[in-house]
Amino acid sequence: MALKDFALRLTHKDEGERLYAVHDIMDANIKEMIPVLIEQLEKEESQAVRDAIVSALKHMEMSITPYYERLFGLFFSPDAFLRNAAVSIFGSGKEDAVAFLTSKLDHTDREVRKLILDSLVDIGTPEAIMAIRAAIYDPAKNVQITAVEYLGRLGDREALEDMIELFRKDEEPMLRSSIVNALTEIGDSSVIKELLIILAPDGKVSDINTVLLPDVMRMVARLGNINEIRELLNSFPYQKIYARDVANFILEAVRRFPLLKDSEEVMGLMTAIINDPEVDEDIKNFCEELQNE
Amino acid sequence: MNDYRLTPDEFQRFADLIYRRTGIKFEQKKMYFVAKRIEKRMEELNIENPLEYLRLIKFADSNGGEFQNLVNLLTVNETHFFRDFPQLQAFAEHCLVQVVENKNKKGDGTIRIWSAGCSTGEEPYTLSIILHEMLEDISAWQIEILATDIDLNALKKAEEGVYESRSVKDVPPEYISKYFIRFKDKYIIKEKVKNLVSFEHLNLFDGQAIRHKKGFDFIFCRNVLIYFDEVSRRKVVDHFYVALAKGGFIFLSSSESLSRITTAFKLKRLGGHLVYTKE
Repeated sequence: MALKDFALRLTHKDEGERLYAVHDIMDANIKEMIPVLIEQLEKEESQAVRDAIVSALKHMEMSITPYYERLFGLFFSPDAFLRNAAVSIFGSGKEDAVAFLTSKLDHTDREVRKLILDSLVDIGTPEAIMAIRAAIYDPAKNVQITAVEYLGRLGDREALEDMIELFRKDEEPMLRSSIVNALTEIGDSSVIKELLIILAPDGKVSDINTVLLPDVMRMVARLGNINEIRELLNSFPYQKIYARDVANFILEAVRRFPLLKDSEEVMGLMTAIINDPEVDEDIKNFCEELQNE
Repeated sequence: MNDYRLTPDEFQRFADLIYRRTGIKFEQKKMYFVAKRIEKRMEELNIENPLEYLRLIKFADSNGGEFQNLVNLLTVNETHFFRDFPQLQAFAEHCLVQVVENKNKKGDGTIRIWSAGCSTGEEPYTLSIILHEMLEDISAWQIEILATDIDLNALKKAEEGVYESRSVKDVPPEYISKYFIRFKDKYIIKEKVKNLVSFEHLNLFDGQAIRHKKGFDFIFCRNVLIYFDEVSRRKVVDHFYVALAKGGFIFLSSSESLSRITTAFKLKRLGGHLVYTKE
């Protein structure tokens, strides 16, 4: 079939015909049709055909590398589907896609830089992880937070030191929260000490920023040794807004160290939750069940 | 009995061929399952070397008969009547009612259902029974239940319509006497149920054959897509999209999520059930 026939079928008034044109182009691996597919993706109204084009561009055996610049243009589209489509198409790429996206990481638009990270995390190769690591120093907070979150998700232990350093230098609570969460995924008990020294230099848990306290509790419960957990339990200033976090903390701590269940600290906190009239019933029930076990 | 033992490399060559021709993907972890079935065919044909058997189905199987024999063994046909009752309830009490209402308004007296991957026929016959129960005057409707499968042996059994007691274990007792004839320990489907159903041999991966299927009000494709990899699954679902009429409904098994494959269908809540429809 001639290229112009494929192009005609792609713009046929019948939705099914357009859908099958995409299938046929994909099966025949026609390189010349790649820019036509991208163009059709931008103007196509049928969701089924749009989905099929995205799938074709992701899975065609023919390399779509020469059309990356064209595809990159979709990152600026006002249509969220097209932006996400570009993310997922780049995300199915490998080294070429990483090289191209990395070269764009200094783009002036922070939303575009964030979309680049979305693609890189999907690619997930060591080269992609390196590029994401560089983005933790991005001038935009949303990009930094995204980079930190993705490094945690990808289990990048090589980013540990950089993240702790960033935590030390930058006091923005949301960024710090994302670092604590990432370190919870990839760190070990040694990071607890380093972070607590920064957050509470005098050793008082009450000095920790209230926004960060639930994240810190989760990290200590997951990574801390029994002494660190006990220390936090002892110095924790119970307030009802933390009831759910405390319950989760106890659940994880007791799972790791069953002996803690009958400790004074755990019993005391659970009793405080049970007796608090403003705490949700499901949290109270959990504490009662644990106490009666 | 000979011990053939497929090597991982041989397995991969078979798996690649099966995938190319049927879209069905067998991962390495399924090696034992596939190997046992290949061995069975080799024994039948008195072939001792797996590569010899591979050559046979690749180059010396002009009508595809031997490849079909292998596919018949590789597809699992475990099913029963009224499988996944809550889903059928959604079909009967909500989706069918809605389609019938729309058809009545338009003066359209047809109902078309496609049971894709019908196996030994339990699903299309279940749907036929439901239509008999739900439609006030079934004779006033022109009904077609197209039942297709890749497995010829399963289709043959489906056309016979004779079942063991385990196949009918979930059939409401009042339907047994109404829609089955009991003969010794067998359950034979009655003609009025059979009459609505037509069977066809179809490979869902055969894009050209499947493109002719259009205008269905309902498509059932339960526990079939699990055999396909991501790309083939997408293509098959695209075919279903084209084959389904606007306002029609598609049913996968409860464990399969259509929204992970395509966003083209709309998820609707009907009477407490979530169903996919084409708007």
